[in-house]
Amino acid sequence: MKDKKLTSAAKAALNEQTENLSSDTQQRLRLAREQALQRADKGLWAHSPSWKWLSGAGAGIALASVIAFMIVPNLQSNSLSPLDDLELLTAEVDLDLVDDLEFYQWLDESLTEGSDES
Amino acid sequence: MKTLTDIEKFLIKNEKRAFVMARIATKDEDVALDLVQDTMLKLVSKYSKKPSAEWPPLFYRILQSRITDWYRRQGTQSRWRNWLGQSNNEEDEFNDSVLENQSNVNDLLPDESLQGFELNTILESAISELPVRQKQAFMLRAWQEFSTKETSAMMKCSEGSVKTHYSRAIATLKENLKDTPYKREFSQ
Repeated sequence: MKDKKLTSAAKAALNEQTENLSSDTQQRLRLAREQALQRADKGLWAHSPSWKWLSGAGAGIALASVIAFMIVPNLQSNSLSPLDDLELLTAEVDLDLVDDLEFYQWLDESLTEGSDES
Repeated sequence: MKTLTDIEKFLIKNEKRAFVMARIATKDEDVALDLVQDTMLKLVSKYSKKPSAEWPPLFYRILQSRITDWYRRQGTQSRWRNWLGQSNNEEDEFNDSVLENQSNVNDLLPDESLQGFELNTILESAISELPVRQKQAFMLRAWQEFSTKETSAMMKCSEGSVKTHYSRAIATLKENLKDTPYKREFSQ
């Protein structure tokens, strides 16, 4: 009972914060939203800083793999050839998608369960 | 007259809450705005064609990931500064362990001024001082009213962990409200 009272009071406090954002903050949020929508419309997601960072990291990993392959050939004794590794590392795989696969599986299951119940 | 798309309506409905969540997590308005914008951009760019029922869990999952990444980056930068001999004691403490550490709202609020604070102000401070994972669990479960299952997917942890973080958050909040005028209202 006390827990419910606490969570209700906390919700009210957080709602109040949300409703009382300054006009400047609201304006900045609106601009941020518009920019996000515009950039998405223009397909500029690939040029965002985080994507650049990921691309740079990917290139770094690929370079390190090539160097490791050239310097330590004996370490490459697995079933996959070094060229296979390199292909995997340089392939234009959507890293976020790889990261999200498990989440999507869960989401699909949840939605299926939800529609079954209703 | 311009017609709002469904995704735009969704963003308008959720951007303020997302911002408050990010601001409470980072305690920095500019960082919070960047995180929310990045979240909106990713949702619109990658998932706008998904059914709209999937947007809320996706949106808040992206946001929580961005917040966690931000904490990790802070920790990494702190370690580099430490390694380069440019650290100070406060920054040394700021690493991944911050995700589990606890602090007390009374560290923020001077005792003598507590009586003058409104309940909402005290609660806001108490929530903002929760450890990151507790804060995430509390805001997603109590405020956004996501289920334990949904919250676990957003926080990328088990349902058991969500329950643990959430119950610890409640306990921490109660503990932090102990020395306030609202002690009796919320204690067992």
